[in-house]
Amino acid sequence: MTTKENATSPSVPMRYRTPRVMTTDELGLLANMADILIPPAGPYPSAAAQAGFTDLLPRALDARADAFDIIVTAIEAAPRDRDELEKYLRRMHDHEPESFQPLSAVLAEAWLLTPGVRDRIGYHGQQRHPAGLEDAANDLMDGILEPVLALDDETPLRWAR
Amino acid sequence: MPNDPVDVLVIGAGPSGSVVADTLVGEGFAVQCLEQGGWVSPADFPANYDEWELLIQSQWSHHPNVRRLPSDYPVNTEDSDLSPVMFNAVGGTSIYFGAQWPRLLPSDFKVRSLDGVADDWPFTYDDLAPYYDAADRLVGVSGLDGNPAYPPGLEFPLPPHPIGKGGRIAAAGCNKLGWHWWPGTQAIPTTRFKNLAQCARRGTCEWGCPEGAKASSDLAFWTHAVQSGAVLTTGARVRQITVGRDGRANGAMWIDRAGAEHHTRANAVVVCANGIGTPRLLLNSACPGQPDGLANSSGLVGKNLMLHPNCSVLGVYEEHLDSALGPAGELIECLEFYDSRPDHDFVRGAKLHAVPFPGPLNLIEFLRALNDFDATWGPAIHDVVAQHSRTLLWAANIEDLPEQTNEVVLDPNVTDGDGLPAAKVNYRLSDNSKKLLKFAAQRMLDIHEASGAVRTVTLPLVPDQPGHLLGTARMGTEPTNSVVDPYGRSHDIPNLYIADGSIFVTSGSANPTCTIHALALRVARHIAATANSHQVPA
Repeated sequence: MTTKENATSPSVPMRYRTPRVMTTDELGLLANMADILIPPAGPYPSAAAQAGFTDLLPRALDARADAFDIIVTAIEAAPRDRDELEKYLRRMHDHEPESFQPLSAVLAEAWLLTPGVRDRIGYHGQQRHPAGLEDAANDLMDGILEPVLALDDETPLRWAR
Repeated sequence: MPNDPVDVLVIGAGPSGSVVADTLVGEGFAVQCLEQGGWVSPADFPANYDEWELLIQSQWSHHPNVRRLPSDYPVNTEDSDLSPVMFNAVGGTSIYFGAQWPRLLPSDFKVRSLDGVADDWPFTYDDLAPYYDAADRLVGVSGLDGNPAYPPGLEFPLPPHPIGKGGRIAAAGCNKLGWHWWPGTQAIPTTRFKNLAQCARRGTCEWGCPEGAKASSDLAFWTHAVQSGAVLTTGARVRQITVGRDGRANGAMWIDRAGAEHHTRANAVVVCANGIGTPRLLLNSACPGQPDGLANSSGLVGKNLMLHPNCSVLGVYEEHLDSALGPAGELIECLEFYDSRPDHDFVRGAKLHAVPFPGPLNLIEFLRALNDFDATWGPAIHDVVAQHSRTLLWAANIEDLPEQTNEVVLDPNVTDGDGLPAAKVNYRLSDNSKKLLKFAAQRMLDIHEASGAVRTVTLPLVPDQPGHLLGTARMGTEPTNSVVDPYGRSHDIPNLYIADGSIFVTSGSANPTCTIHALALRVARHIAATANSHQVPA
């Protein structure tokens, strides 16, 4: 179940929102799941400990609001014990990929959207990078195409029968 | 207000419909197009949002069964090895295409003569070349002249895109193996072209270009066509092409978004609804005189569906490759294995292309194919996402040979939002295609290895790609073994034409949109040339 904001074109998806805000308990369980999927490593904190994760989780949930019921069901069935929770996630991964996919994608994206992770991995979204005037020529200037042109000399138009 | 009747009624505002409408309105015809979708603005696309990688999983999915927009209709794929995709809008699936723009090769037009399989096209590469050239000029194709895989003289109106770090490392691998490669050819302008912006390399071509820098048909054709007088009716789902007592098409019944029915009268009808939508409409248009569907005396409407099965191999490299940089598209293409070879245990071949792979979440999603928790999650996740800028994807289109058992039929149980029978796809990979997939994946592994990849991940079959929907109303000279003549005109109904990918005889393995444009241009010019005082046809 989702709520939708109106779109005017039949070809433009409506902007989905989750039908309700997650409870504190639900958000806590999601954070625990995120920390199992994305644990601390060396200097890097776990997902939920990453600054901004909690604020960005609702945005990620909105983006997959189509899977809200699946995610809530996964939360309701989740054990509270940490070790049992990991076994639960592993079981879901192996046997319920249709549930594990949206759950893990939402948690991963909330983490990937945090400024700290974006800076660390060097990804800030798909930004504008128009090519320079001579970039295309520069890519080929060192003769990298010459072997291909030599192929043609050896067997002219062998593909163009 | 549109004329009544209009000279030409075009059904579908995708690539072929846009070319037909723009061409014929330019020739002075009164043209109306019925499109079940609507306009999509560059400002709408998911890449405008940071969470775009989540948005493309559902709301902006390639698959109509996942999106389930008002413009979409269900496609039942329960008996299909592939789940073909499409987008229903002004611009059609070109809204989502990667804008790869390779032509078919000369051998593609004579597969029967060369390889003893399938059928030859009713014309040659040389016959279609002028239309290819014209289409290139219309959309503003960027490419490097002189690709030796093609006959001499292949030139493009705009200079090529940079192949970038990824393209160079891919090219180096091909060179090491002694294989053909060439910088990618794309319908994405490297400089501002007409009303298209210069490519900003946002890298999300296959989910809509937020820059308006891709020659999707809405931008490349429809703005001009409408300004020239074409009437484009959106939100108009065609229920049935209507036929008069004289056996000629006389218009179409359609349903607006409020559910009201309309009839638009026309002197000629051109169906441009893609390789699934076109046979669906023809079959849905069955009438007492044509109980098996319109234009279907051959029984071939919906048969011979070809889908270009895809496989891909992701490579991870030591060096940063700017993996998020577009266009995507393709950086380079490899046509080394495009054609049949005597040492192969299959016929025909594959087009291989190296493409960027933008986004860390997309990388995670690709790795799900491994089905190994510890390879992606837990401590591994930090290394996985750190690889996002060091990845390069090789992907392959496999030539799909026509088989009558691969087909589009009407679903007896499923209907769309207007109660019209949905399309059902019955499709199985042939042994030839399976061998080709395996072969192509191995060759792409070879290239990655030659290029120095430190890790590779193979996806042996991409189940929901591509949107190449071909062959379901094939061209030919004989009414017994084809649906339309070499100019897209129905053998059965003299003023009914088809101009989309349905009319392909064989699929080649080149991405088909370029050829769809050329064919549509050829059909439209023929209609114009043979019409008599705009009473189409003479």
